[in-house]
Amino acid sequence: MSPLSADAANPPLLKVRGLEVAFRSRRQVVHAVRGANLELRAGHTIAIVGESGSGKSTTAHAIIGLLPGTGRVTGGSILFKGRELVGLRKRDYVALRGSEIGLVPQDPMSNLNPVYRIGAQIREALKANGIDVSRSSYNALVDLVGHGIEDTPDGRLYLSRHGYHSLLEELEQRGAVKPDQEGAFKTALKVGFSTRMEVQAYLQDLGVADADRLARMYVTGSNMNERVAGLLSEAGLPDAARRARQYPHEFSGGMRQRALIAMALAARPDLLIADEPTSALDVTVQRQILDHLGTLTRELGTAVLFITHDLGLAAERAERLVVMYKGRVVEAGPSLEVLTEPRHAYTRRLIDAAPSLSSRRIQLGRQESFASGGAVQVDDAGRTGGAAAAAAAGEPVGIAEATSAKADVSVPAGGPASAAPAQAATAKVDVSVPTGGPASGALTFEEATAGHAVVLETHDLTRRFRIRGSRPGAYTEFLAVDGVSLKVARGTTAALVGESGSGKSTVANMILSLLAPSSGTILFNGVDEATLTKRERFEFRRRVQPVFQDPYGSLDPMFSIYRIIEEPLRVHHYGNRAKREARVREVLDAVALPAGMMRRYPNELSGGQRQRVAVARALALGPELMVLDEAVSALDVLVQAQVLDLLARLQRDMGLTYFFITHDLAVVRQIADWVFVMEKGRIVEEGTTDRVFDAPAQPYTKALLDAIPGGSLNLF
Amino acid sequence: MSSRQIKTQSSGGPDSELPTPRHFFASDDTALLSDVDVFDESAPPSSLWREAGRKLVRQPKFIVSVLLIAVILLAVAWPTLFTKVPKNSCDLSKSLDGPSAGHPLGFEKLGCDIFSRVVNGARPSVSVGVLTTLLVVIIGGLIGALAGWYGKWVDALLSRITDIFFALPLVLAAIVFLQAFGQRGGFLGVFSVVAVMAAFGWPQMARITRSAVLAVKNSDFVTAAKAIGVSRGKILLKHAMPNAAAPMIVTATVSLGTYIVAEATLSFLGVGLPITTRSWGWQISDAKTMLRTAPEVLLWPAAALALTVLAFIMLGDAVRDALDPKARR
Amino acid sequence: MGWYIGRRLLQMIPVFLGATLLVYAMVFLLPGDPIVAMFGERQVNAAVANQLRAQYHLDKPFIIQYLLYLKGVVTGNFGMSYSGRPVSQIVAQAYPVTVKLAVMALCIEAIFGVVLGVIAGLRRGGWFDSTALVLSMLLIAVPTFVMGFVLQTLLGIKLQWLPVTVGGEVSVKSLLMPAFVLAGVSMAYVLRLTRNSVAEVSTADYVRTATAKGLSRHTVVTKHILRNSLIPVVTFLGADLGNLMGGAIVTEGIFNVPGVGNALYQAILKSEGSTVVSLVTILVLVFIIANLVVDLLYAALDPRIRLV
Repeated sequence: MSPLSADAANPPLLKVRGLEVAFRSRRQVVHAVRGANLELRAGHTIAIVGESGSGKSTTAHAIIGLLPGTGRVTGGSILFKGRELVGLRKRDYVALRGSEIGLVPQDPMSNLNPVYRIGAQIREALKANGIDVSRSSYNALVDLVGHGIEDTPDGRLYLSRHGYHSLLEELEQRGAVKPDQEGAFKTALKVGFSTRMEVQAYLQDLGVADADRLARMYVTGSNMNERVAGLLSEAGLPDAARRARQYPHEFSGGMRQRALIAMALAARPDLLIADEPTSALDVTVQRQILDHLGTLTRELGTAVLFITHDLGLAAERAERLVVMYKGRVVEAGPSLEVLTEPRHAYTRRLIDAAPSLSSRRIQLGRQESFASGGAVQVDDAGRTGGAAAAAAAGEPVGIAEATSAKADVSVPAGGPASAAPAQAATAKVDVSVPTGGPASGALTFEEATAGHAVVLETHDLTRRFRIRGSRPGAYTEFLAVDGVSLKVARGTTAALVGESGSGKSTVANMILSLLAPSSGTILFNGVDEATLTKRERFEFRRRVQPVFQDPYGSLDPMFSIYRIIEEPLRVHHYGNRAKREARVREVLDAVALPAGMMRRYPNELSGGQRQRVAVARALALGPELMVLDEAVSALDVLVQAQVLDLLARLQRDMGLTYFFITHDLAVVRQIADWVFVMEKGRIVEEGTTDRVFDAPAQPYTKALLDAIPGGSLNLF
Repeated sequence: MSSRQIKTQSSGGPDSELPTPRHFFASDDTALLSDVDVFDESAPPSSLWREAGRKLVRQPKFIVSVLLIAVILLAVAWPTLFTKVPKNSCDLSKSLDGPSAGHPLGFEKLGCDIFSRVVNGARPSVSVGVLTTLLVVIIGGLIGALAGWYGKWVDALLSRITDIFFALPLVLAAIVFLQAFGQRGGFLGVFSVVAVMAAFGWPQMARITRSAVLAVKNSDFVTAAKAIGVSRGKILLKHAMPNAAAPMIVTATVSLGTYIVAEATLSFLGVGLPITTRSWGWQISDAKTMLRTAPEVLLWPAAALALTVLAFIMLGDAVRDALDPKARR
Repeated sequence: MGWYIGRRLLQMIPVFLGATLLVYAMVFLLPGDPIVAMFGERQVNAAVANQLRAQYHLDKPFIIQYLLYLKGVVTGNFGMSYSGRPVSQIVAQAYPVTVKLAVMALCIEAIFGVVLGVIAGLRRGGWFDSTALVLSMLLIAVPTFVMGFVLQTLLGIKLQWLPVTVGGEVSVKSLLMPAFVLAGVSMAYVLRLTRNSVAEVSTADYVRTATAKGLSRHTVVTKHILRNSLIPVVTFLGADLGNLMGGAIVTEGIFNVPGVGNALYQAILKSEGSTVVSLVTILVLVFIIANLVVDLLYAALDPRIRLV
């Protein structure tokens, strides 16, 4: 198929040319988008990829006419179905939104109005866009004319609850559906969801002779509430009719996002803008929702403009990628081609840093060094650039194969997908373990850590929380951590992986001795933490240091950087003033920050810089163990890679031990030697990183691995 | 971000005629790559407070209120800067005379110079407001901080005590107490007014402080300080309180104004400051009987009072806008 | 939900006891003998004084006095004022007037405060917003009694639109001016609260989402912005009823309204301890109940609270 003929047959739905967006503040004008071009054809999916501040969300908001605050389109054009949207009147935009352009917003927690029921908020979307579900005007017309008019498109007529039950009864009477087949009937047809056309097709499949007559008889249009429930079940929400009557706070994050998808698709827009729709969700939920959204939009023929910071995710979900950097489009092209043959320096940099794409390559050297039992330093001696260098070394292998596999982005829905990464992984094992011998993948902890003493050990660690009930005195017990036993060897990185609510942060707090376990013991260098005297505990605090997730919350905004790093030194009576200052300089240098930063305040620093300051604070007292609780999760890809490099270098230079807690498996692959997978308070699987990634034993681990964005891409 | 990126103009305008290339890429120099996450040392230093200060001086509200307060404080400290007429020099023969040279506002019933009385009325009114606010910040801040920080039974107990005092309206409770206590002269009179207003004014400050401390309590930097080994009391003092200060400062500034009104109300009702202080409340009370014949006698002290209160409320408002990112836009 | 109310009710009890004890202590523990004060200029008759002391339980320890008083409150017996009038009679006369006044003031502040606040909040940064904010500050800055005098002189004496004082004739028209004066400061607070709340909700994510799904500006404002931003305003208004009744003392004095404030002020001047305590006790009760209603209102308006 030549591109030209495709152009003629399928003119672009959306065409953005030279778009300029500026935000005007009191003192300056900030150009958020500068000359952006993009094109999207009906039914296609493209993704805009970029870091925070790249202008990707701003571009999306400009298209739907919802620029926040002082933002204005200052130049260029946005053609939607050949119609210019720049300078469109407000009223026309109102008519456009919902019915022609839908938006799935970023944060499911804040995007539903907390005071209205879910159903009411979806009904609103139907009403506002004039969707006449109950066909009240049609019925009025029928009353007027006196007979039915055969004009309602059968694709827009939904099964009502009444029709559903009558149809089921009729079919059972005829014996077409046996009582034990009711379940199949239920999954095939849904109230407010199945159209007359679908019912007819279903009946034909059943072998019913007068399928057409039955469909006409029983599918006569649903009412509003039935349609709302239908939309929710279409978005993948089970038990939709009951759920529609609930409030947003009774929904989990994933359920809310489904409700938002139902809302955005309610009026069947031609273009759906999905603005980081799943960034706030767990990976497995993210995968389910994106799979569902993909299937749905493909069935409906909706074009999708997908906004994301995750290159792997973007390539997996979209046919074309648009890479934005500092307000400009730096590269745009077919997804696989952009990944395998990046032309712009920034794209290359992004690909190198993306953990989901590069992890395999980075892992090569590390794993050997750990598995071979020697100290980490031995193997790292020749590597200056750490991860990035390793990534570069691994690259040539990838490109050769990828070129042949280009333009074949399969977005498998459900089952088959899980096979793809597994195959890739097994193929990889042979390459990655050239020296370790055949057993290397399944080493025991002792084998893997030969020569490393155990720093931290927990036995049957358990923590219960009491949740106060609605009645006084009543409470329910919640088992956050359930019999966790783990070991961490000196000078290595152990990762604890789990989704939100798995109890991983509770484990971190217990190890840090900030929270007492309900039962079980924690041994630090063989000493039970519970038996420490006050003085010993104080000493313990010097040797074990935390780094937390939120770079904006972990530094006191009222303290200067100097005071922040100096505080632990002062508390632990380290030297005199001059000596402390020298030490602060030293650790700032260790995290590659200039000494001039000492007099600055956290609000002047970027997220990555703050996180490096947090690492410097943790380093100040020369600790043995660092507990890193989601320490890089909130950072942009490039910054994240930089901090991970830094951590690896510090470990090599200082012999630090890391206990790394994260939800991000891709990052784990980059940094960890030993992995613990946690689910619902229990450790379900552990092993060397390679073993867990290449041959996961537990279905939960498999599900987690499958959900890594970009995992299904055949890059090599 | 830095201002560098703003200056560079976008090149290449919209050229809609050209077909979209299959694989487009900008030349590497159209979007110059900067090093990842470099710290710009040339940027002017700023702390949260400095930032707030910068926002503050940009507001006309702030400038107006600070100028007003400066003038008021001058009148409090050195009334003779404004008027050479002693506050108690009255000449019955000049009763209700109009303005004349050296007496810009004329005379009241007993022939006292109105301008002199208005200027001299600033000191008692403002000092009662300031002293009450100080006491309220100390009592309310302490109770609120302890309740929020230590939680559990400490919170339950202190919060109930706060509720009890909150249930009695300030002016009402002050009237009941001051009437029973009786009118005292001199320092004791001023002190009893301040004490009683503080005794019934602190609950609001306690509630604000408590919620501010609660908000800080679970932040990561407090957990980090615990993990370093800083003691609980020290964390409260060094981390929690400075971070809870912003809402406290705003509340204190605004309530300073309302305490001045409350004092005037009490004096107006005859239970406030000793009559010898000649506070604005007394002057207004004095003049109310002649409101129909000589309204200006009442209006001048009332205007001075309103302007003073306005200045403090405006300052509080400006401070709120500067400290609270949510307040504006 | 039931337990939510129950817990609130339980928390009310110590507050009620504490507040009444505080008032009782202020009135009866402070120096000065109310019995002596009753005799005024006359010679104190020791026998009569002792009899009166016994009658008012003044011969018993303070805490017993308080408990006996509480028992009276619970059984609806507020005792006699020193002038021989049953306190319950004073209460029955004064309260309806003040309730009427306070409710009128509440309506005034709700209507003006909310309407102006919503307009200011929707057009934040504009001239209307700036003007409304400055005017609201002025309203807070001008003391109630000055406002009262100015309106009295202007509307009552100069223009003769409204009665100058209320006196014996309590009607909506005669209460209009005092109600406006009483509402003044609260109105300013309602305006500011509404304005800030509307401004904040306007930038909420769910408002943008509502716009994105195709709702007209009008629907977004009425259904999403107003509904959500008025929750704190409604709760403020509820709690303010108690404040208005307690704060009526100055307004009622200026306009000579025969309500609680006036009765209280008279009682304070005459050192009528038991009357003062009774009137304040009921005010405290109104305040506490108003706050309870606010809590329930909050739960009704915000579905997130109901589960607590």
